Amino acid sequence: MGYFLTQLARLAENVGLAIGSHLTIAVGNIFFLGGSTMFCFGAYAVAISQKAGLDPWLSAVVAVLCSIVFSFLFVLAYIKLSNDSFTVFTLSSMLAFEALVKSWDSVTGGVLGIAGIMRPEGMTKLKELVIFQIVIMIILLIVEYVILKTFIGRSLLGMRESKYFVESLGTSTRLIGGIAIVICSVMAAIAGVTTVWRVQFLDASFGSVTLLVLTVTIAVLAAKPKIRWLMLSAIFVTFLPEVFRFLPIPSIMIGHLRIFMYSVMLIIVLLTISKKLMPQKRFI
Amino acid sequence: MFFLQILLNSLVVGTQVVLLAVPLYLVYSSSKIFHLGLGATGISAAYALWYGLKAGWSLPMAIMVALICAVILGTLSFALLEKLAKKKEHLFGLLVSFSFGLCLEAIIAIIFGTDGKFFLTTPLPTIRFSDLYLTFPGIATLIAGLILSVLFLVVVAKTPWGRKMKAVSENSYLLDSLSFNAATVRLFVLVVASVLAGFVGIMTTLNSTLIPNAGFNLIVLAFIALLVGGVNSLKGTILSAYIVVLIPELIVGLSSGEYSVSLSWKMVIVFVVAAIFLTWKPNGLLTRKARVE
Repeated sequence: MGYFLTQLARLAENVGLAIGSHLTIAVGNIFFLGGSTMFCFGAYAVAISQKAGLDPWLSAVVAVLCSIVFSFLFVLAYIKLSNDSFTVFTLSSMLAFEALVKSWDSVTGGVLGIAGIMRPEGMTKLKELVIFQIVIMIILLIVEYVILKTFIGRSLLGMRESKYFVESLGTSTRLIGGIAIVICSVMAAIAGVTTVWRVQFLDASFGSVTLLVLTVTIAVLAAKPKIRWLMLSAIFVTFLPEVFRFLPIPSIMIGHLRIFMYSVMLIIVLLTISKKLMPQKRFI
Repeated sequence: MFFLQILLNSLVVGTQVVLLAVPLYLVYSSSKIFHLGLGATGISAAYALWYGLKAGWSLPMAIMVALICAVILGTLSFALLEKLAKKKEHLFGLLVSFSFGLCLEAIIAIIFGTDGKFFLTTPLPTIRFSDLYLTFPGIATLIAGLILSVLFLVVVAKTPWGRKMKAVSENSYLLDSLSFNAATVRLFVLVVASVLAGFVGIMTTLNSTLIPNAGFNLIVLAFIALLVGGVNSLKGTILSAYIVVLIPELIVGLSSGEYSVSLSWKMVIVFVVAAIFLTWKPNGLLTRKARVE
């Protein structure tokens, strides 16, 4: 039972993290790779707030507010840098954040991390927490659905076709891109908060490269700006490496095999279905 | 004297970053793709050398195997990136190269494990200049860095090869019509870049431990140097590689007492320095404003 609950929780966390990437990468064609940094940021913000004596709920609110503020750094980079530079800049933010977390040990616990993070009242059992995570996942999916139906979603889809076209309609692509990045960051931070409540421990390796590749794979595999595609993609990517658990493979290798599988999957997906992500290349 | 030693050490690390930023620049110039798999390629070559030496092969034989490994990985990168470079899908190229690097790291970790490996069990041979000292790989890196930087500056700016390389990224079909094979140019650049990355991978890990993800930090540093220097300026890239290394090294090395900054802050400082430079000069240190036609 514990195994299935953990898998459900992982699915909910991955979806929460991937929704933002789906909105930026698959919908808006903004290659924002700072999702795992924000995931880690949200988790640390909630853990540090709790360490400072705040209630778990209040610390979650603080974490979300802090993530909004922190995400403006990425918005600034988005405005200042070219597309590919922005992508690698957001990617390298993961390294910088990891270094910051390891170095600032008086606040973050350094390499030892922070243990004993408390779950909110009413969610002390895993089952209750998983139900809460699934509810959060559904809410986030609804939020994305609503966003896709609004002016922001339409503008993001328009940006995928042509930025100049969207600009010509009097919409600032910087503003829309910035909003998408903030939304993505907040969603990743929320996923980080719920994850840290589940694992109740935090160290510098929390928002790892594996998580980043997993998120991008889900977002790219979903390809179309549809919620059901995102959900299917998340289920497929989350549960596929579980096959390794039933094979006679040393447990130390499973993590590397998972990274290998995600990377190969991402390469195949990018080389085969990339056309679906680039509709401006269509010839009519 | 302490300051000079920091300066000398930073010069070596800066040259390592230059030697990785230059291939990054070359690949970008020929395909407009940031090849983030170059770090892992370099580390793979270093592992090939380590394996050869551990298996009891002679040094030239082990170097040859490392070289072949780098060439094969360069060719593999070409096979993966060529289609995307042709279609000008540069961001997908970036993601593919990043995934390619992760793939290599995972394969290395599965085969060799994640524990640190050492080329030498004895202290590295050093050369002294009065009170200053440098390790042998450090001197080799400095000399190679100096020669290759000058060579590539000349090749890129003054020779037909450099012009051809830039032309390939602009319009490969037009270049094809002039009977130049754009794919061959890109293949050549990727193989050269992989061999250079292999050299950096070996020189870096001679000084420290060999671990599967050692290349990732280095490639990110090289990329930041490229970004700060300007993606279209080799001179700027070389200059900024030293700047992004020197500033954190000086801050860490010269801080003391209550305001002492530990070595682990280095990457944070690099990121802050890069952010400041990019806010001040988003197009690069030495990039001039060009007329838009």
